[in-house]
Amino acid sequence: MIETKNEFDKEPNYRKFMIEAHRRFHDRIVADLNGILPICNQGKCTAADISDNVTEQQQITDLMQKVEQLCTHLSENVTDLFSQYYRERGRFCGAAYTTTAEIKVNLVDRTLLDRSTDVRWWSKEPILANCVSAMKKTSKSLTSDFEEMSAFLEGAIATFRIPSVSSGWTSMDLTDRVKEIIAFFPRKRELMFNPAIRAQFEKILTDFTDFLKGGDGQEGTIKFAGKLLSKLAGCEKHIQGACQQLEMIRSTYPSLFEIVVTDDQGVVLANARPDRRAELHAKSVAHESWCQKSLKGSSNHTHIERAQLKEESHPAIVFSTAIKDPEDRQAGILGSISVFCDFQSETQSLLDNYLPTEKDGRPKDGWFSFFTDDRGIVICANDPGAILPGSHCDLPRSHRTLDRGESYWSHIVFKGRESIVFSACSTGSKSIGGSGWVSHLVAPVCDIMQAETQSTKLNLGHHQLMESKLIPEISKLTYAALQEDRQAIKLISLNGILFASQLGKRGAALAPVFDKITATGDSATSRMESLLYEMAGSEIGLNLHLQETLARQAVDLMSQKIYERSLALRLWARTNSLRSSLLNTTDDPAADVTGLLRMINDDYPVYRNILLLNNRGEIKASSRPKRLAECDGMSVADQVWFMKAIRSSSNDHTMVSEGRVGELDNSKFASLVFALAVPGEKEDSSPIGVLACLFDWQTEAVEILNSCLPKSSIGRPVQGAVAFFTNRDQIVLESTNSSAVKIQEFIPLADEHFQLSAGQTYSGTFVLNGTTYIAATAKCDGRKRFDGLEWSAHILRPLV
Amino acid sequence: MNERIFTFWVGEQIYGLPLLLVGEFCPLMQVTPVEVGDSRIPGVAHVRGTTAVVLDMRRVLGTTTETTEPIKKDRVFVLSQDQICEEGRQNNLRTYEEPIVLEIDRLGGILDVDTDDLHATPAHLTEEFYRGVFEMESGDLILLEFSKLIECLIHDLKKADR
Repeated sequence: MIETKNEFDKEPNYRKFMIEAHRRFHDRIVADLNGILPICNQGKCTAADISDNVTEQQQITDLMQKVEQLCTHLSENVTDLFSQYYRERGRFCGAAYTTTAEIKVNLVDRTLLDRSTDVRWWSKEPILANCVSAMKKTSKSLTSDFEEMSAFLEGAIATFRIPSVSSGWTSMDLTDRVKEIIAFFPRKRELMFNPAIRAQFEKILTDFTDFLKGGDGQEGTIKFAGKLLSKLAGCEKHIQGACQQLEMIRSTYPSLFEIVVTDDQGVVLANARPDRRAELHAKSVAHESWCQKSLKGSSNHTHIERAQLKEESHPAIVFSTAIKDPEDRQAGILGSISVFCDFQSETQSLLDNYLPTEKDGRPKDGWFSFFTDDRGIVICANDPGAILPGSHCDLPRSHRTLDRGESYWSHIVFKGRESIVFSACSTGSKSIGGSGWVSHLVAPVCDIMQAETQSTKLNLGHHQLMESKLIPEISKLTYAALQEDRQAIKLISLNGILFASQLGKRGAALAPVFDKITATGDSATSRMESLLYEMAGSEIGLNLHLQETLARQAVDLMSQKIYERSLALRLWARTNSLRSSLLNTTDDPAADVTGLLRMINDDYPVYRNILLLNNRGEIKASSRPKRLAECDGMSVADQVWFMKAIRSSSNDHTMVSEGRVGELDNSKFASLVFALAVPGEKEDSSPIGVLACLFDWQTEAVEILNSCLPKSSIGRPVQGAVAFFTNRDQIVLESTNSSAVKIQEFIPLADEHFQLSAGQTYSGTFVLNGTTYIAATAKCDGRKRFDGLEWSAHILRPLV
Repeated sequence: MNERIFTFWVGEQIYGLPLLLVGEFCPLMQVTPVEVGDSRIPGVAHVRGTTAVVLDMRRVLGTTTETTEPIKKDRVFVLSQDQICEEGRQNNLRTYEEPIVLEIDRLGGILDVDTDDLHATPAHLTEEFYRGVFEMESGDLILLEFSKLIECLIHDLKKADR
């Protein structure tokens, strides 16, 4: 439950937000009401003039006093009404925009969580563990190898100093050549990591051993030199293998700008970017906290922190975890893998999202969105030029130090502009603590507290508007009280005029007094009524905005999930063991492939099953073979997703299709099928099979939809609200209330809800089972994610 | 000839009655239900120390139309014949021998009208107690003849008794 605090709770200072029109409005009503008081005095005087009858005089005076009391009451009410208007507007804006801030930080949390899982999975790649392990072993043995080689070389010098007739050798001093070779031995790291140095060494040593081949008794030296060179060549092979793997990961995930693998001493062994290899390899990063923490941690934990690679212009988020021996998970830590993510670029679209835009598509001036860590340091910002990542954020402490799930908003001057800042800390979940980062949304006061309302959008009548559940109870009470006051003034005026009429000619002097009272009372109360309508319209407008935002959140979360998962598939499809298994013509899949798929599935439980299919569409291996028991020998060659996937290359986007219920795993659930071609021996060779993942999107969808339900002021989902996903055919895919909105059935929402372009939102009224709802729809943003699914998210909230 | 009338709404129709028939425009008052066998008379109310019969004008005028706004039910206290003021008597205003409370949907306002502008009741409006119609911008205002309205009601009641 989100707790929203705000400065208004402490100090109800609404006056600073009042727009000029409202000030004038307020002043005019108060002046009008004050203007009645002298009229009442005039009435009392007239009473004395027109009648000597004390009872009649008293009747007139009583009426005038009633009018005075009502005017005073109305005057107080009008001031309260403005106070209420701005406070309510503030509360609504607070609820709407802190929800936006919360949505953003929770989306970031999910990105971090997904990336952490990916990094843990990458750390299990055998090629990396083998590299670290081999390099460690080589490094350890090279010291003694160099000593032994030195002894061999000294022996060779001695041998060549003694002339031998049988060999035809002449006395020769090889000291200089040996010195040249031995000079390389202290440069162990360079020999291991630097191909150029290693090539120099190899040339000198090979020349030397070639020379030795002419003599007798040098076999030992030649053999050992060969062994030494092969060991060094092994280093190169391991490093190359690891680097290729890292390059492949980086090419699959566009937001990664570097991946670094170190040994347990923090020495960089491999990296993803070829241009930085010479500089990074053999360099120690043991002093970096991300390296230290990953080496001290476990392989089941990913450490996340802000970091900066010197060469990069902006800071990165580094995800690091330990590398362990895949064969022996209980063994100690071999090294670490650290993934540098260009978080600014990755989150740019998220930061820009939900901000109002100018005609050119840029966020409106004065609107900012950024994240800070627990120390208040900016992690990324929608406008990094104005809010520098890595700098200390320019916000009061109450915005920076929020607890999990807490939010706060207040009115401050930000970048020289009167603004309201909405801040929300990530919620986390029971299993995952969350990043603890705080999302801030800055909006100019004039754009939200003083913006025009959108009450006409729903085309509601005044009565319907005031009866709406979206209008706070206090507004309804004020409306009712105002109606009573209006009625009371009317009755007093009518009775006054009646009284004057009954007095005949004597009462003629009183008639203008009551006419004036009637006119002023009517005018003041009508103005107050229209303010209440404006207030109600504004609240409805903000509710619509909030609902559309929630719908966008739902569809964004879902598409992000699908996008992230599809990226992972591209990497897995290129795993060597899968390719080898498909190239093997025997019917039984290799046990290690099943084991590998199971391991992936254990790490990514969002998949119901992972299948390896050959190019005829036959299932060769499965992560959950038991679930396939009744599908034995089944072919999916006729499935559209399979046909599309087998015709694609592993560089193409993953095919994502809506699967039929129980299609592949004999379950009662529908799945999304992610499918990608597995390339042959070479990357560009034709596909030899397909890797398919059955994504358990329903479990994910329910969780996402529940998190997107509109909440009441106490943080509970609004009663009767429903959130659901539909496909392009208006069929409900998943719903938070399947009795109100039935799954797998057509939902008769207006066409406008389904004629949206990617990323657009729409809201309107919708009647379902006799209940009128406000319905907000958001279409999947296909420009950045997938456009193939064309799913929409909808949020319904009862209107009356 | 000028006449001051008060207007009121029943359903979507606006009606008028002479202002001088009125003793008071009352806020919501307690109505004590009385069983008289006619739904047009829901009960009696106590006003100014007297007991007055309450007439449900929706039923009296036979209005069945629903309004979009909620019905507030204003009340108008109509004086008895002997309570009519001097000016009323001079204008030959006739009411009933007992005070009566009219239960209406909502009050309109007070208008000064020229009875020369009063048009004959259209043929489709057959009620005897319709005095005529004023054409107004917002629609036709039906001026009622209160004494005839009461007569019709009493006639109906007597008929029912027989």
